[in-house]
Amino acid sequence: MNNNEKLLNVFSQSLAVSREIIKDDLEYNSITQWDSTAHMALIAQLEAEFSIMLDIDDIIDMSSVGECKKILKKYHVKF
Amino acid sequence: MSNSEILSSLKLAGKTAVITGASRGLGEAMVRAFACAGVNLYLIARNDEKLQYIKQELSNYDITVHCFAIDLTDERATKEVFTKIAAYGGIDILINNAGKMTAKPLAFIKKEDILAQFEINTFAVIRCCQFASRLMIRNGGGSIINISSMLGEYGQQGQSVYSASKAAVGGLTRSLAQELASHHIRVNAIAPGIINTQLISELSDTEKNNTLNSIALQHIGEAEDIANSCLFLASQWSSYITGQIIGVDGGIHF
Repeated sequence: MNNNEKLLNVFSQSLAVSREIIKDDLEYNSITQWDSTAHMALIAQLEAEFSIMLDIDDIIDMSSVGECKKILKKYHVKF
Repeated sequence: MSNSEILSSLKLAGKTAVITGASRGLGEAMVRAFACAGVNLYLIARNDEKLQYIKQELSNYDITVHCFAIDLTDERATKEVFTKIAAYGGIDILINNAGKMTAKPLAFIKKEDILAQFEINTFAVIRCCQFASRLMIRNGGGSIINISSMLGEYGQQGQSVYSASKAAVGGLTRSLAQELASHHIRVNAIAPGIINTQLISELSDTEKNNTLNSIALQHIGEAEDIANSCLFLASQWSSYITGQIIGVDGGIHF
């Protein structure tokens, strides 16, 4: 499974949404499922899936799927 | 019921705990109590020599023990430790025990005194909760135990900054309990009263005597009293308890 697939799965599972709605422009708090509680679950799953530990600033900056990809690249996750 | 039967009933064997301030006082007693209960341990303190000594002493227990000699006021070092813990497989229990107490009257408090106590008593606790909660979510939940203080509830002359830093831990505990409940993480605090540790030895004799007179049970508590309370809050016996500040203080009254 490539990293794009992994990312889709993480978003889909932690936000409990279908993969179809997970686009780069999907933003935090733009859907009811992506609230602060789900964000915590998302962060935990991202860290587990990609074996990383995110900085607090990066967690705060993770405001969309696209931003998430940019941030993960900083941790040597390639898309 | 024997001691071993009591420990077995806690069902903590095989769980994993991070204990900060693990090299002395309350933390050292917690380490021994959790080792007896079969809990795998990550020990954090500044004194590596003392950590290694404790690890050696625990070699007869059927548990794994990892030691991290860092200063918890160092955010980068803290993150590195939790990154390593994540690689080992995560945690079930976090005990935020590391603390610093400096007594000073209001007129003599410098900004450095405030920062020094808040850095370890409050800011480091928040950071550890941030990292640990993410690891606990991966594992389906956990228990966070913050060591507060009765001074955080009642205050004491000359302890305004320490009391404020510990009162902050109380607010943090109640709020995180609400925030993390949906992730099956319980968050509680223990507020020790007067306990026989090195921190207490820094109080003046007058302060100690005044406080002893206000303890209903008329004796100073032992570190094991706090450690046993931590075992309870970490165990299934407290599964319906979250957001509480539990005084372990012999019935102290100011």
